[in-house]
Amino acid sequence: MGIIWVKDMTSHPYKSSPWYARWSKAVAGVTKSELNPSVNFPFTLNQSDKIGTAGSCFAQHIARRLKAEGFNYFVTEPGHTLFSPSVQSKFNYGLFSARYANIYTVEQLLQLFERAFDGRITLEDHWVLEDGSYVDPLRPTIEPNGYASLKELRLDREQHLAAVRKLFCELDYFIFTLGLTEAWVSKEDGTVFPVCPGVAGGNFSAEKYYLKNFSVSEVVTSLDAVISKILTVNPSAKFIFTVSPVPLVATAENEHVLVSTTYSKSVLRVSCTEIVNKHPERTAYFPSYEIITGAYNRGSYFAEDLRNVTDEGVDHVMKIFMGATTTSSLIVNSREQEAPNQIDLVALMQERQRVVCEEELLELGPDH
Amino acid sequence: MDEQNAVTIIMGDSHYAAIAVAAQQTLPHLQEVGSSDLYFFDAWKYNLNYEFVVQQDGRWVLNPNLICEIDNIRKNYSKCVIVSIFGGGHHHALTMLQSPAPFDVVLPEEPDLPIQPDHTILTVRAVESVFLEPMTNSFLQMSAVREAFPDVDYYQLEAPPSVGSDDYIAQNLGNWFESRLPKDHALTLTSKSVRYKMWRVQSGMCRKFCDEKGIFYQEVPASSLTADGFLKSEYYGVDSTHTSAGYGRLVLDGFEPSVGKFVAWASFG
Repeated sequence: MGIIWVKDMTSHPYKSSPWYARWSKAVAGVTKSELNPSVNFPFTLNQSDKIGTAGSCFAQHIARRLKAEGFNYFVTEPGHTLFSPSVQSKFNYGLFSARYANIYTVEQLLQLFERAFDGRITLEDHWVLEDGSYVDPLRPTIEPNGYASLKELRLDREQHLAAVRKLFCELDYFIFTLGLTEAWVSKEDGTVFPVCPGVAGGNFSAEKYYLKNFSVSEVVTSLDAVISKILTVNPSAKFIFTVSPVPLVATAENEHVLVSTTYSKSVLRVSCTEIVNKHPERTAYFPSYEIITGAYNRGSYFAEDLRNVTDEGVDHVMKIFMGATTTSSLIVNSREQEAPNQIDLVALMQERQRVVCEEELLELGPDH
Repeated sequence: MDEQNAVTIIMGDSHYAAIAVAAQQTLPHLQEVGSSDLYFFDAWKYNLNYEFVVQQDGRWVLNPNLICEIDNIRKNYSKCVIVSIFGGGHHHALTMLQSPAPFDVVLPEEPDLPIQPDHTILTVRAVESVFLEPMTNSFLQMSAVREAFPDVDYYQLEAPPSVGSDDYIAQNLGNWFESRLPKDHALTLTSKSVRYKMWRVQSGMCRKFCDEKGIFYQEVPASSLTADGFLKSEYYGVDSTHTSAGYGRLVLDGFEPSVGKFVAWASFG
């Protein structure tokens, strides 16, 4: 037997690894509120940068805090000046950068771009509710109680897509929160719906729709397409991806919802790393998912329903986000925070309570 | 008490002035109890700022003084009709002057009306939400009347149609708008078609509210309208948003088939 002599038994990559690479130092031994898994974040957001957002319900928290912190939260469909703040909120203006409602899957985002820029038409133009009002199948809850006429729906949609074009053409950063891998898809034209037909309008038929549970390769392919397409209209755009930590309301797979949730979040999480590795100059991943779901907090960032994220959790995410991405006065690991004044606190609390989530419509109905 | 007679009691905001003046011009004024069949609440006594509704035990109710006065009138008649014209000008206040971001809507009942080019489309439900805030007080007043007098025929009049003539509006803007126009600011009006639509949106909201509350909704006299739904010029009032006594007389004519020909007017309050 040959003898392999190791010249330097004490030399190996882990010897020189940074503190954040060691669990004992970076996780187990850290106070919950001070854990910061965001390292080497490549982008610094300035207050003049136009920041667009889209994604699942969790993305609304990011949008709100950007706005609150005085950043240029880029909204191309802000609602008319005739609308009071309460009317704007009621009609879902300003929740995201354009009035597209929650975008749960990457394929939905790609579809949005194609509808705005490439003339993609969806065969299901509208759904009609029982009272005769109309719903946009790709934004079924955007207009409370539905549109009063079909013409109104179509004109509003045209305006909306024009706002989407402006958004992608002019933004500096696009923050996208990936939420789901399960979606219902039209067998006729491949349209991806944000909510299963029949839940918030439309009628479900197994002959018309099928469940698609996107894989890593499919999500990465779609993300790649989204990035490429946006860069064709906006060559300087940069992308920040994050995964929503909010579990599925329900799974359409014949699986336990916890199993399906783990699959979805895993796919999305892996997809983020793969796409960032593919576009390192243009993209970055922000670890919202890890901050909320990491074992270090022992589940304390989930509310009683073990699904909604607590305010404390959102605060932690946003503190890390601001610290990593901006020159804001919020300093990572700072123990001192300015107490917001009473008026700001009330407004902040009211805003926090209002996160619009179509996925939660799945809970409504005689079976729940 | 004359068992055959009906009494019509009219109250409201500034828009009922045209009806009151019409009565003054065309009917004798008889203040003796039971001799008139048309009573106007004298809102001018209160600078058009009468508290029609007041808080009582945590609820908004019709002013008890008003209830008392109306009861004192109606006890002399076999039938009582109450007519109100609460509010009415909200759509003017919010939308008559051109917004820096011009807008238009699609009326669900008239979807083929043209849309103004380069105007932002607002959904009808969003405009209704905008109108709801200023209209809430009028709805409160109507509810209170309905609740206080559940057994009478109660009508709310539709707000008068918009003036179609931009020139007339510009020359007779009225104090309310003039005080809100920035100095040295050229007057720009919302386009005529949008003014019409805003009137229809407001009317639709009022009609729906009345239907829900069991209040009759009395539409504007058909003969007061032009073919395209504006107020005929012979019924223009002293300013851009109010109507003339001639219009008021048309309103009274509209009630006579139900209550009988009016013989005299009086006032109360």
